[in-house]
Amino acid sequence: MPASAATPILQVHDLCKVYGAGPNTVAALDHVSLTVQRGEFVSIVGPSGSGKSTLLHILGGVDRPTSGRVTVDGVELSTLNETRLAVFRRRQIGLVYQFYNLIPVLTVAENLTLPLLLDHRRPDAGQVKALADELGIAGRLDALPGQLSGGQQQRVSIGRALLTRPALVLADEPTGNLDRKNSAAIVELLKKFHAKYSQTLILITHDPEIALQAGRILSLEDGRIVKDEVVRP
Amino acid sequence: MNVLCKLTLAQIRGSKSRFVVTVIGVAVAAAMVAAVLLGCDSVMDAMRRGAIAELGDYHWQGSGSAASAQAFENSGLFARFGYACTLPYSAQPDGQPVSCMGVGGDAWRMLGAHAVEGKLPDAPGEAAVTKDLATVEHLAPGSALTLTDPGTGGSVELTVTAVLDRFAVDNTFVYDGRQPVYLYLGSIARDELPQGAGSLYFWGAAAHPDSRFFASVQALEQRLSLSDASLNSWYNTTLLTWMGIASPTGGSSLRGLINWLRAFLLALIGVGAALMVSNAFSLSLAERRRTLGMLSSAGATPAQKSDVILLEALFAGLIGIPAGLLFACGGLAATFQVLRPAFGLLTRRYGLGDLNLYLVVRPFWLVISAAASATVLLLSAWVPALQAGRTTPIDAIRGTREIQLNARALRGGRLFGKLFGPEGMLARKNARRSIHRYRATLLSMTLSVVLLVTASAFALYLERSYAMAHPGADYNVTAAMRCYSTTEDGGAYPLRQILQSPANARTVREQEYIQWGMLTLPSSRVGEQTADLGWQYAEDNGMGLNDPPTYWAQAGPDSDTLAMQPYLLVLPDEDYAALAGQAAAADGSTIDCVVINRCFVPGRDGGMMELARQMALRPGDTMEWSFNAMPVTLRVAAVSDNPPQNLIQTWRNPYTMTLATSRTAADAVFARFTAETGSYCPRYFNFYYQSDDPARLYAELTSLNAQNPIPNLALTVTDIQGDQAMIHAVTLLVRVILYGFVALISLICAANIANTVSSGMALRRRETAMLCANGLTPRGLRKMLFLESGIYSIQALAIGLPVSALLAWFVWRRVMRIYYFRFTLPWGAMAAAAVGALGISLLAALPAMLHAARHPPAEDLRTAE
Repeated sequence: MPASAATPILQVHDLCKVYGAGPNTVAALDHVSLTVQRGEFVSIVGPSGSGKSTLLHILGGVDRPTSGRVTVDGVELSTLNETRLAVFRRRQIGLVYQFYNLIPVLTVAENLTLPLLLDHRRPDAGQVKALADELGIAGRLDALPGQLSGGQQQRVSIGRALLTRPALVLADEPTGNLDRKNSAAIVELLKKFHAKYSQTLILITHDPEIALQAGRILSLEDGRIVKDEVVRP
Repeated sequence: MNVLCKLTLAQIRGSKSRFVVTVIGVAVAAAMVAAVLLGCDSVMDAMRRGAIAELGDYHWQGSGSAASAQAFENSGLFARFGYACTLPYSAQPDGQPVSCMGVGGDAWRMLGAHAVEGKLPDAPGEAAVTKDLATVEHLAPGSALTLTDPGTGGSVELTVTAVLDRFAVDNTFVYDGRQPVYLYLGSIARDELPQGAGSLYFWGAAAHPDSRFFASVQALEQRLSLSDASLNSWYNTTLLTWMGIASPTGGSSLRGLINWLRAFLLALIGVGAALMVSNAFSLSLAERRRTLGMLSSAGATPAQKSDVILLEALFAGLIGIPAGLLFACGGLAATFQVLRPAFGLLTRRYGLGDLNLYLVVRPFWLVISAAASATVLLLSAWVPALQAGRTTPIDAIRGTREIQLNARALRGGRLFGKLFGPEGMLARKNARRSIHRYRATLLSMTLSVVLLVTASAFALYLERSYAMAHPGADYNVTAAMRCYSTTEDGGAYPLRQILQSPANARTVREQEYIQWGMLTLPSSRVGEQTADLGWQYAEDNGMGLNDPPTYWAQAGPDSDTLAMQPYLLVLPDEDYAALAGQAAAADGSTIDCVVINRCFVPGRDGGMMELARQMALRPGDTMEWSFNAMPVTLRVAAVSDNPPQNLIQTWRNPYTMTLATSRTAADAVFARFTAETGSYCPRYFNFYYQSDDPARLYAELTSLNAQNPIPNLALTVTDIQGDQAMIHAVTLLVRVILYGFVALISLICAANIANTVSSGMALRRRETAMLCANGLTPRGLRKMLFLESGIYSIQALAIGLPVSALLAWFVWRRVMRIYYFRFTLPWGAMAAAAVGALGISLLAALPAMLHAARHPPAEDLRTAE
């Protein structure tokens, strides 16, 4: 683990998220608190409806909690307005989804560099090429997402999340839509980048084998953390 | 209500705003279709009324024997039949000379006879007289009128029952300046007509004016002509044309033009509306793809899945079509109200009478409008409905057809990215997801811009051209007088005195000019450009070098001299002295003059141009003027390269030279001419009036023509204010019609863009959420949406404004052939087009922007997954 590993990159305190009102109220997250150190690789597991994706969205600043605090790299997200939160996301958070969520009208290269483009920064061509080489999509930079396989699309999605070297990478079942072979390749890729760039990675998965690749596993049930174990110190 | 109907209604409730936009589209389409059909019918109805007022309400007219007339009357082909003939009676020796007409059957009614006083004659011995005759002879209903019968030498006693205006029977007969008297004619049996009666004319209004009627009339005419050599017949082609009926003898070209114009407008509107409505249903289909997949997996047949879309079309049509028809009727009524004075002015000006333009709503055209709109709606919904029928559960699960991407179309956007940032690039690519929809909307919008700017340019140029025809505009009526002597020539002297101070003029300006004979001068004194244009003029007008009586160079290009036509303005002495800097010589042999060295002439490209430094003359140069047989020398006292605007003339022939001299100098030449030849040379005077009551002044001056039939004297009067009003009427008509068209197209564009952007947003929820998750700010999202909408306007302006400018230039070239004026673009209209187009974009983007503000992206992200 690198020297900076002792610094917490993520602090979650007493987080609640409630959907609906009156008798239809559903507590997706119920007083969740946790801390993640810089450079950690954390898996979150739990049954469907346990609040994994809700937690990830709130950590990524794409959803607001009903109560509680989330601090990422020293910034408390609730203090940011929508615009500053958007800027924070594009610079500090990398998101990877099960369904890739690439923008179909943009080429692979444009999808990869989207956070930079939105930040009005010029992408470094060398960096993009190097990343594409590492992702194994160097020959498809001018293709549209619809022209790629599922595995390739997910690689682009990972590349997009990593290009800006964000403080926190959040992956929501990134292999959920892939076959076993592609799943293994994607997990290897995530591990490789985590190791190479010492980036903090939080990964949601149903697959116990994939969860075991992480250094720490959090188990969620009914919106609560029921187990927090370090599997690889 | 079956399940599909319930499902459709539920989904309409779920996307109310899109459905509302669809209904607006259907309503606008129906309104435009109805506007074209009802508008055409209303204008044709006005023209039809005009034709009836002018010619009569009949379809066919014949002349021939009484037997032929009776055969036609009894043929059963006509719902109304009337006849007239000249009668041999004339006035009593001490009375006003009259022409006598017998009028019978339905001819009174068909030919528009209207009793101002009394009732129309309906019994033997009754007569109607014109108002003029009634005034002169002091006749009124009930008066006795005695006419002589030259045939018998006796007299005919009549009772006047009506005083009336002249009516359309007078189109057929010539009265040689005598007043007509119309007698009741009860029968056309030959033995009942008075001896000496003239040719019989008859008119018929068809029971059913269709091809069978025409064929029957022709067959009957052929049969009757065997025994009646004088039989002849004509159709009322004008009336039939405005009724939309092709007669066998003509009018087909006008009718064809009207039909073509109507079909063209309908096709244009139909295609535009179909694209818009089809766009709406494509979006509806995309929204329902998952539902259709579910229906499919539950066993719905393709027809049932198609019904979901067709049912939505039905609901949209049930609301939109009646609303559109109502809107069209209201809009047309208001438009006609605005256009009525201009339309009346134009029809009066062109001798069609005072036509009252108002909305005519005939059920036939309403039904046709509704049917055409329903057809457009059905055709628009058909393809999306077929696609809905083909949706499989797998399509729905995979969402394979949600976004049809055209890779080629999506490559672009770099320029927009550079101009507007990543939001611009995204907007550009999003807008072009469906290249066909994009192009259709862009085309409509570009058409709006082009129509708006070009119509404005046309109106502007028309007014400018007219303004150039009357520079200064310190007058509203003009008169021109031509005579041979102002002192000796019959009534010219008193007439000129009247023209110099008519009762109804506030100010008068008189301008004499002389345009007679030819000038001979060294060819080196002609400007280089003038020479060039002169040769071109000669070529264009087929003039050979040896054609002597021309106004261009009489000599060949190698000759040292050439001939030019002078146009010599006669100025008051003091005005001339101010222009020349000295008084003019006045010895009758030599005239001092100022060369007006600037004029407007046709350029090499056919359009008018301003020709500066027309001549290379210098002060002191002389030119020989062949003043009939009497030579006169013109001596250049000064050359004015920048003369006053009112002295600059427009010439077809560049070899016409404008000169100015003084009154004293000109009069000395006229006096010498008369002394030496004993005759007079022609004199031309223009009078420019400013009047508080131009119509009265115009009437006062035109009456001079009738009162002073002087030989060798001609007077023409122009009502400048009337002309200006007509120009304004034309430009108003052009503006209202084209701007109305532009407004409707723009409305369709706005609805189309709003629909596309809003529905695109709905379909791209997950993408938008991902963009937000990747750091697209709310402002960035709004910017993207605005640009996505604005891209249509930006591109429409980028294409439309240069195209409009080019078209405006062509329009300018055509219009300025009448009078030269400098080319200018209609900047106001161009600015209005830009503001309007961007305003439409902003309005169209507003629903999507409001939706984005109300629904945070995270919610969509969660829902999408």
